[in-house]
Amino acid sequence: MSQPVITVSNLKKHFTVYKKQPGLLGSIRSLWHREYETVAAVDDISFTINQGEIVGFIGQNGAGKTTTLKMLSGLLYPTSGSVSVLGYNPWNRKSAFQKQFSLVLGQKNQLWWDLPAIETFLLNQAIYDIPEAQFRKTLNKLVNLLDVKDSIQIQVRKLSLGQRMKCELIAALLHNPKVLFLDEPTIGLDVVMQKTLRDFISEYNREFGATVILTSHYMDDVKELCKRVIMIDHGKKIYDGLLSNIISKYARNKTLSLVFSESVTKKSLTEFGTVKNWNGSSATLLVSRKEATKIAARLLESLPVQDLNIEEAPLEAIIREVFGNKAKSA
Amino acid sequence: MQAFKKYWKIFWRFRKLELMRMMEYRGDFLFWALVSILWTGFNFFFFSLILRVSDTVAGWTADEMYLLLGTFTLLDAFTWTFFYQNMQRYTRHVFTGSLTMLLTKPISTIFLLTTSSNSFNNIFRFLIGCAAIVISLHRMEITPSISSVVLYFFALMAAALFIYAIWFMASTLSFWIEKLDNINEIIPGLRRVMQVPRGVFAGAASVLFTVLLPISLVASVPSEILLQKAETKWVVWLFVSSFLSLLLARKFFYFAIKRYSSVGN
Repeated sequence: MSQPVITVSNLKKHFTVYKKQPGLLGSIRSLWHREYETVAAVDDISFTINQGEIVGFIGQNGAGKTTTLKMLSGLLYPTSGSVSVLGYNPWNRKSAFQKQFSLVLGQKNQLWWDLPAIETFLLNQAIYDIPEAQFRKTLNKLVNLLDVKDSIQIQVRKLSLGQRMKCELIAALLHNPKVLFLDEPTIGLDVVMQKTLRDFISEYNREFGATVILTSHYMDDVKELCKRVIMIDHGKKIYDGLLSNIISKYARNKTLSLVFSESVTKKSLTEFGTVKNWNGSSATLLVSRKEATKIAARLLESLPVQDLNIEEAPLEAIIREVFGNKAKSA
Repeated sequence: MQAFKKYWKIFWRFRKLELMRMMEYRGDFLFWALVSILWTGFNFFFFSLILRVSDTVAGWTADEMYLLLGTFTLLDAFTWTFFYQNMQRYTRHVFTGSLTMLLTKPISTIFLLTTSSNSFNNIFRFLIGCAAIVISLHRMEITPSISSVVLYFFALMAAALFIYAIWFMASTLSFWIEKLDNINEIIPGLRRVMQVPRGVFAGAASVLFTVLLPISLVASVPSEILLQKAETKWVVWLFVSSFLSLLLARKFFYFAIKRYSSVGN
């Protein structure tokens, strides 16, 4: 049984934000009177993460994912609650702690814009006290894994987004961090590059036993990398468990795909479930998840079914529905 | 000692990176170098006009005034070289949220904010400042003792640190006042106070600029050391106020960082 590397207890972060009235009049009014409101960006979240786990943080924009990562990195002071990462309180910003983790923000960069990426790598070598032999070994390995041997000698501003992101990852991993916070690392990349980065993260996790928290709006990232996910909505944790269990917990329906040997009417299908598609010789039905097997048996008995498939709803659709329902009820 | 070596190494790596960057944009470097030379030339010209109609300024002769201007030019070139770009970046880091990337580094954030950038445009102003000091001393037939020269450099260093500390504190206000680009113009705006003898100020202005915010001492006191007319109390006050303002700047930063909210992503 591996040890918890990250322990979060009753973590809260409230921000005071200024609410500006619309228009010029609102701007003028704001010169002497401003309305502020308190927003609970993270609202009483608790969880633990063990060594070597890759955990996906899922949530809509503004759900509190990045704020949580920033608190785990010691960048933001919490309103209340406690956090331990690798046995350290992140807000003490101990050098020994900072040498063991890395935060990659897909929308922020640390590379020197006007110079080749190798110059930032050399700077990080000095900042993180990486011995020369270890630096060369890790750099070669990362450069080969990400296939950027030629790119690291080119000015960063002249690189493509994908090449730049690969170099950002190298800069973040040169010191072999034990904990990685990845905030939308594949944002804006094409599907091929997304896949390359996913494979790389997976390989890094395997080779170094690193603990990874990943936030991404691309479900492919989460599906491919994370066995466990934590779902956050309006600052609150609404699910923490296996990705595969999300389906059993939240999916209400299954999809039955039917092919008929003779033409059937749409009306004859409505008694079994909701008809999503129908063209006489084939149809797609949405049926209650619990009743799916029984309904399939009844369909086989009463209609000229040539082929039948029972499918789970796509994960993306389930998650969309979960957050959609929460938004409506909020 | 190990930590000092590390910081020293990183300091010079930053200088190397900036030098490489400057060479990427050499046209920009040459243009700004020319602008800074012209600016210094106009400054000397402006004071030469005053000295044509008045033999002294607050009791300082023309040659003494040129020594003061030379000292101010050295100090100004130094602060412009090391502080201006860094303080601009500091306020921008807070506003855009890119401070985040610095805060995760296992190294002093103040060090990163203070040393990561510099400009080389003012290198010629150093030479002009040095030339003005040497020529004016020669004209006055003053040969300063080694101890005066050493004390002069220590006083210049204290003056630079004092300017740094108040500039850094002003930039730290960006944690409260979100968009604070023009703070970087306020401190340079005080340069008018630095380049005249401290005796120019009387009454409340004297209390303000020599005691409460002793900005009028930064060029006057080192110059007075070379001219062998420095008053001990003002030399001591320059060193003490530099030390206190550095402590205050550091405390203010760590207080401010607690209310850092970064920005949305």
